[in-house]
Amino acid sequence: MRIVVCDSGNIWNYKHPALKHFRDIVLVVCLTGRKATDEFECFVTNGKPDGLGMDKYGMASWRYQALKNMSNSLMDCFRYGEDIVFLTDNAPESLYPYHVVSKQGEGNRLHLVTLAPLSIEGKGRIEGHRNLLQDLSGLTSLLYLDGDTLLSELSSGASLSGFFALAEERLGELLPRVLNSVVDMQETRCYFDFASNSYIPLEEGYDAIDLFNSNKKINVATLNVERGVIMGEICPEEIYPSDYDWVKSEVASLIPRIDGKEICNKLRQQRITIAKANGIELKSPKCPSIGACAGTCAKCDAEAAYLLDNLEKIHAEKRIIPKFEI
Amino acid sequence: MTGDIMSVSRLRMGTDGKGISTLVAFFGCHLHCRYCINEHCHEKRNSSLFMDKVPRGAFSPEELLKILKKDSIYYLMTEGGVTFGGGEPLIQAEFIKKICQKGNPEWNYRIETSLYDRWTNIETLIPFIDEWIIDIKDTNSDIYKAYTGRANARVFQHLEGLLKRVESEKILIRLPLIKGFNTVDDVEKSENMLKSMGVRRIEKFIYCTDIS
Repeated sequence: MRIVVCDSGNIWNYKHPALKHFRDIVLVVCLTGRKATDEFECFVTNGKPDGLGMDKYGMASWRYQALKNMSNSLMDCFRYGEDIVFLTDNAPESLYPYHVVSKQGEGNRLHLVTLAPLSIEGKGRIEGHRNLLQDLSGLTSLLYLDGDTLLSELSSGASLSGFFALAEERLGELLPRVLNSVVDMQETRCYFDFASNSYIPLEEGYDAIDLFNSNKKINVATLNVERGVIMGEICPEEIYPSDYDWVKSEVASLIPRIDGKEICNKLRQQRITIAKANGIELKSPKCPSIGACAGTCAKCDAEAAYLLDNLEKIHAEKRIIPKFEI
Repeated sequence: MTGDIMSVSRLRMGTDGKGISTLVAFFGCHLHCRYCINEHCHEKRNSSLFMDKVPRGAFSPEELLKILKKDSIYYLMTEGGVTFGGGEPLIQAEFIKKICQKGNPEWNYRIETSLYDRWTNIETLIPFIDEWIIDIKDTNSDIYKAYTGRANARVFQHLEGLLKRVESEKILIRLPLIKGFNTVDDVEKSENMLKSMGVRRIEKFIYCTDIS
């Protein structure tokens, strides 16, 4: 059995405390192209922001596309016939690993645990989440926790951080039951019934369940939310500002710019000049890349780092720093 | 200690001080300028999980310096360096101080500020900042209040204090002409007032209000 989470789920990510008990079978799918943790096995996509780095939800997302392009490699992480349990939540991107794997044929039994977006979330997110759940025919089991129903358990005036804490706790408590049920599961198309706290087989399949219309509408006045939340954006308070590496890489990401190629050429000239001036051997081939450019890249950064290292070895008084006007 | 950072924008070609610089933009600002280009700096919650919003990262000084160091040779060759902006960077003065202390002393450290924050934060950074790029909006208190939502008395107290402690060559005042709020005459009056205070470097410009 494998447990799959993605690096950017709101609740199910590599930081969820329940996962440490299953360390050997957890796979973290890193959608942003960076290894998220050393604690669990990671599958890292080679995703890069598309265009200006804005992303969409669902299959149009560059994160989704990057994962889809590596679907064969992702499938190599699983043994044939193995049960795969996807732990997902209200973040549409948390569903990407499930969706990509579900399109890869019938070699594995797929089990999905998910949390519906709250009705106060943005339409784009809600639709993105729903679109990824349109075809559940490949699932062996489904646990679908309705976000609004969970929210209704909180008292009036509760904060969203309270909601996420409750969701994390509730889903964490359910995890052992889910995994034990998966091991014993004989039937296909099983749905988790919260009344009996167990999976029940659905002869008619998942179409018999009206997943998306079963949300209870919560009066948002019951929540202690700020205006920014009512605009449809929510997030766990405890990640403000975020310590996640993938968020920090977004903050510092290189953005393609109109004058990128021109800047790249100027900086290359600067590197060649400073290398010559200080007798540092530097091979700097002209960049063959065509298209949008941020003015620098990993290769250019590596040359700059190499030059800096070598410059620092030269005594400060003997170092030559040619001046450039830009 | 971590910095609450909106963006780290590399290879700014002379737009944020002389030479090539990296602009570190911080969250948080006391002003609510009508045509703010970084309005999301006021957001209290992290919207980074939602890909259509601006992410915010908690960077340690070491993490930020690792990024800043990437362009070190370009800073040295062009007399560039690191510019702190935002938002209002003074609010995170202690973090900025750490960056300046741990960073390369050959870099230039600049700050783009409104001076609308506590004097103690300004004082904290005086020993470390090579250039103060100050957006004064307008010296007229009514215009300032209409545009930013705040009174400007403390800004001028702080500017006076700064002029006493820092060489005038290190202070650049940016005076915008803001459509619908001030006029060319207002800008000229502001310029004269600032010169009478001892300001030597003033940059007048037309503020582009169409940010669509």
